[in-house]
Amino acid sequence: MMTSSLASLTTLVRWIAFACCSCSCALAVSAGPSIDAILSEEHARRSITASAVCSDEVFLRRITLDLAGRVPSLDEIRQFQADPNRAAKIDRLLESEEFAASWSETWTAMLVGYEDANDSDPKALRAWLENALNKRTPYDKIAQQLITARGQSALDGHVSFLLRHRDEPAVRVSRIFLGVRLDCARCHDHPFDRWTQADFESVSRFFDGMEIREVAERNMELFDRTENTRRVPKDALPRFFTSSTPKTAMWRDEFALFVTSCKPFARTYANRIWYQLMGCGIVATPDDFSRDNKPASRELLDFLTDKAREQRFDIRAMIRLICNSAAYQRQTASTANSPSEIELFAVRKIKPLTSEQLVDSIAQSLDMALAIDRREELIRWGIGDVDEDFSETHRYRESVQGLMMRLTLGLKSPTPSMDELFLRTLGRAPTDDDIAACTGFAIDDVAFALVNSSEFFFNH
Amino acid sequence: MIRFDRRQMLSGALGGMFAFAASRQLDGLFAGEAPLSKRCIVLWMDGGPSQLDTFDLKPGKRTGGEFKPIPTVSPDIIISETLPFISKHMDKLSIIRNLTSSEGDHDRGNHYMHTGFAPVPSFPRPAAGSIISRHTAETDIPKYVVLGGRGYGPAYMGPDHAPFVIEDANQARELLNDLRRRRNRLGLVKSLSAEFEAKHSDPMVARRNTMVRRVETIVTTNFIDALNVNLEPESTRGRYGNSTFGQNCLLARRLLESGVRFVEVQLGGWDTHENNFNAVRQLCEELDRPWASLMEDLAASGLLDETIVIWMGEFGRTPQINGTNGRDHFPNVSPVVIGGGGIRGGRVVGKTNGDGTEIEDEPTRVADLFATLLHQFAIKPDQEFTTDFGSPTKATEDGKVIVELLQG
Repeated sequence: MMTSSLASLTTLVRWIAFACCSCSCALAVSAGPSIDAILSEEHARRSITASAVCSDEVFLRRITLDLAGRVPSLDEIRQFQADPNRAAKIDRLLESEEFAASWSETWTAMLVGYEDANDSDPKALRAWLENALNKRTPYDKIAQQLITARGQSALDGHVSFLLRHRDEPAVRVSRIFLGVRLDCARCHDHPFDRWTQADFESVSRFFDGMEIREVAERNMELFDRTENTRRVPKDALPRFFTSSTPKTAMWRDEFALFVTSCKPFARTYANRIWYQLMGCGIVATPDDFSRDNKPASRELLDFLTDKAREQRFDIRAMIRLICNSAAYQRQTASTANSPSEIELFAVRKIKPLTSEQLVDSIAQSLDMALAIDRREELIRWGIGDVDEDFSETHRYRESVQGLMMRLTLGLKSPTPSMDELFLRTLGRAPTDDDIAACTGFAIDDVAFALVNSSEFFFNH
Repeated sequence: MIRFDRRQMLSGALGGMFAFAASRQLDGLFAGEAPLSKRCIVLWMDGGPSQLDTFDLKPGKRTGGEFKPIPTVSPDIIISETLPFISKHMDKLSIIRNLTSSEGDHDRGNHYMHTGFAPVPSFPRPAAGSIISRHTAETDIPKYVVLGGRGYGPAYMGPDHAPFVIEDANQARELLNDLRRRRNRLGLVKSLSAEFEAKHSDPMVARRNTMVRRVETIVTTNFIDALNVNLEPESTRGRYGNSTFGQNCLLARRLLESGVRFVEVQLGGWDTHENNFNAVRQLCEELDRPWASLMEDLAASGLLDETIVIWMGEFGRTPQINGTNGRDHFPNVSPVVIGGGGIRGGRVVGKTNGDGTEIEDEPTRVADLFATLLHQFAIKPDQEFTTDFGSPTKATEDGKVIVELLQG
């Protein structure tokens, strides 16, 4: 008796965790709560005072790095000084080609890393993602296409995601798109979490029909064999986290639907975009929604989850919503701030630039034209070991050797003017202390020091 | 309820005591007999070296191949005629003939033998060099250096313990010298960062600051001179030979002397699917004298007592000789030679059958090799590490210390 009631309780808990919240979706009307209203309630409850919104120059640097992947140009700085309309700036950046180029690159690293392991082709995946972003494909469709990808890796870039993770596709998909970590359940039932080894096995079965063959050198074809998935006894069918089982032989397609229509998908998506922009997730670990990792604000997470569905996973709409909030635009944390102020977004966390952002920002601010190969080489210096997992975008990865390599780069200042050089690199004028520190140094040395300074290295 | 808590507390305390006693016992077992090690050098035979043509000969068998056995300074050990110089050091080195691996693919085997764990895509594991870097005292110079190939990474040991990869020592030296000459520019980096760093308290800011300081310090250390093999007398350089591998062995010795904790030197070309015997003869010629010189020098300086030397690759090779006179991948028997740093020399662990197709006794597992290596750095085989995503994991996969290599 004990065990059976316990089992049904577990099922109930799971059902709740994965249930569609159509009721709260309907409630979320446009005049309802907002990011800032929810957060200020949280702050009031804990007697936290939120910091002020940042200055225009800080905002411009922050938003340009986040959406275009580099520091603003001199022209952009001047334009924004003349017309400091933040919402309009956000819109313009979201429509730029650089937005799709930069975000597709970040997401490629998140999805497959930097290595062409298992015959995957990160560059082809990136081109596919860039195209999807340019075409304004909603996030759930992107996920669906990645999970159901079929075709040849040389032609269809999205095939590379599953090629890369062919050994354990279910683990990666669950993690990236649902925040479920099956990694541990692979070997043992997780002591604290709800996922078991049986879950790992039954979810993994969705990929049983997936086959890969080499069509030509470095060109792999991903396809399905329905003879593997047809006429399987009921108890050997794959089973989703909600206990749903497929009704057809197209298991991957059904899995993709199960994934993208369940609530954790919307929640993980909203939290990931938030993480990417804010430097810290509402659930701090963007791909681990375990019981240990509680959201900093349940209300905010629910609000954004509902918004995600209301917006039909329009990526730009979610980014626009977050970037226009005071939470996004607040000043960054100083030594006086407490950890709970940072966790509750009363003050902004700083983020190290991604290696791509760093390289492109150096090139932008010092007017350097980088050949594609050279750019890639410089990016490699900043990512540490290519074997690593890159699903957390804002991790500090640079090794001493990488830093050393960068510190030996020959750099030239594009201008003899100290003021202009500061504006190009840090987006601000030099202070008296800065000028004093630079006295006696050649302008090229100042350029070198500026692009290697901490202020340059972080998005703040 | 209260009683339950108390009982739990009591058993917890007792468990703690037993655990303590057990750990003392382990310490006691080897204390005094096996001094701990401070350094490690791995001679990595990339491609997978043939055990049957080096350290586990099968003379007279069809699988035995071309090479004749020769005696060594250890009366019980015979090795291949292709390794005459190293035969004089087999009192300081032991052979593991029964190490078995499950990974017969180059990438997977590489990962397994570098980390002690079979690769699992979503669970990166740290290389031995990174683990040892993490668990040895701080120094101003890089602690884990890889010469002549790509290094295996630190995973959850963190980027501080990434390998310092040197493809070309002269280039690396120039780079460091360049940094040293222009150290005042680094000073400017620091002064222009000072205000920002004072304003922002974030562990990543502190990290960044430490990194710049570290670079600044490295260029003032003896690390740069250590990279310069030209500082060695002509006669010494001659003993190591002119090959890249030879010069890298000499370089590795200098790095170990300068305080580097873990050096890996790679010698590629062991993937002898074709023409195995000519290839192995040539490779052994390249390997033999530099390795022997390294043993000689480490022994002479006394550094061998605290430096583990390991010779291995990703797997062994098939006893069967294929149609192109080659040997294919054979992880079932993966040869390892090990000595120094408290590891006994002159021993043979395990035994393969007459034609080398099977291990005759209880096989040594890859995890056991790692347990032994880490044990010598005072890391228990079941010591718990915490991964990036907060999950605890053991240092080795239930590895057991190979007692024969440690006891007197």
